[in-house]
Amino acid sequence: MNARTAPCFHPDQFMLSDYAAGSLQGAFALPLAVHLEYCEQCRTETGQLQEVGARLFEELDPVPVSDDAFEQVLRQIDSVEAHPLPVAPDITPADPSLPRVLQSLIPSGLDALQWKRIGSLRSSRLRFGDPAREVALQHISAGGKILEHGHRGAEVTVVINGSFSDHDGCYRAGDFLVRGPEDIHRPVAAQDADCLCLAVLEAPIRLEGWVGRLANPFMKIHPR
Amino acid sequence: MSPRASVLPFVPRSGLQSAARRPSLPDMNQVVAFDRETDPWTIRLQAVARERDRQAYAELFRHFAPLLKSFALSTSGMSSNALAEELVQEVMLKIWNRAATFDSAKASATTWIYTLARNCRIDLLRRKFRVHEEVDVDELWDFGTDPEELHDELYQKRIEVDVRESLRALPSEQRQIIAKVYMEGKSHSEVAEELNLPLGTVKSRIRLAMSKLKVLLQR
Repeated sequence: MNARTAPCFHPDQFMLSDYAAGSLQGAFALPLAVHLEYCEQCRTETGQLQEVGARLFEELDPVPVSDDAFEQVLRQIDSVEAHPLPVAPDITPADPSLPRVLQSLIPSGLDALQWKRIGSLRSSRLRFGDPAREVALQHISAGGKILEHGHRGAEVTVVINGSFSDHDGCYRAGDFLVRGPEDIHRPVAAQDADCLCLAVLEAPIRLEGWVGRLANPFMKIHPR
Repeated sequence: MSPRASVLPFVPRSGLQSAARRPSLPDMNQVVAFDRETDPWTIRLQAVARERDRQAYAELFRHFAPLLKSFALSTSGMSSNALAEELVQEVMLKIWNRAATFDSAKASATTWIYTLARNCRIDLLRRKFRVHEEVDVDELWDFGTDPEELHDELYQKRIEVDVRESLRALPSEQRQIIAKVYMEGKSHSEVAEELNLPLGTVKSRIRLAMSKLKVLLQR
């Protein structure tokens, strides 16, 4: 992947340890995995958090397995050895600049996705399969402003490329941010470049202001 | 005779000591907590990778299968014996099939096998609750390591020993919560509910435990 400056905004320790423990289920693991592709510091921490799991694992009280468990595994091994699984062909990513973990969700590149435009925001829902959360790519064109909005539930965003800013700061590639229901913000993309983000939404966003209030009944999340 | 030995009668416990024919395997009783010797399970896993060594594999099975079963049974919402046996078999098969991808500079055999078990558990829970997610579990939980970030076995071993010792030194109320998150796979609010504690208390215990374990870098 391209040389990048280290991200400034990271997942908190609870999200990281839940991820390392495998208990951060559903779509929130996706932006976190994207962030890890950009962030050496969080990769190191996740590695060490996995060590915690491994040390707890090795100290579990062993429970005997069924008498024929080993024989069964050996039979499966024999059948794998006799009929080796075909080696999966290396799939050339349609767009190598996208994070590796997103490649299978965007098999034919960004242009092949269906985009929905709302002002300077283009949004494309990805079929991830989490029944409770919506996963979407969001693209803000250079200098574009998004309507001021709050959130009804948690929204996790990771910047894939470009940058945007709101009242809290400027977010660049790899930056990870979580917005809760109490946060109202108005993101603006940088003037010189488009901004692409991955966002995972737990509940519909709540638009502020008149336009927002009118549009609200039509804002629904669409888990796919 | 321990229950583990009875599972694999052809690899008696004493088999590990009669290593005369297998000089590469260290005597298990001689392995101290931290030394420069390669971890005995790492050696066996490498033997499986390089030579498809079934004897070494049987020893891995005898050690890890009962731990895997225990891990599966401790999972919240997965107390079924059949599912636990399924996890054991899937992970043990993956150990055989993927041994070649194991890299001792990234992690010890135990840590590698733990991550296989963790991923397999997520997969089984997805299937059990009929959630079909489009990204493969192993992709979603493989955050990779750049070659320049790799250390060596000794470095990995030091982290292991540090974490093991700090875990043992944790107050039980902190260790209990960490174990619920990792081994039972519970969310913080589930832990809070179960222990009848405020969510804030659960979080502050996790925060305290993590700072004692020194697994987070200075932020």
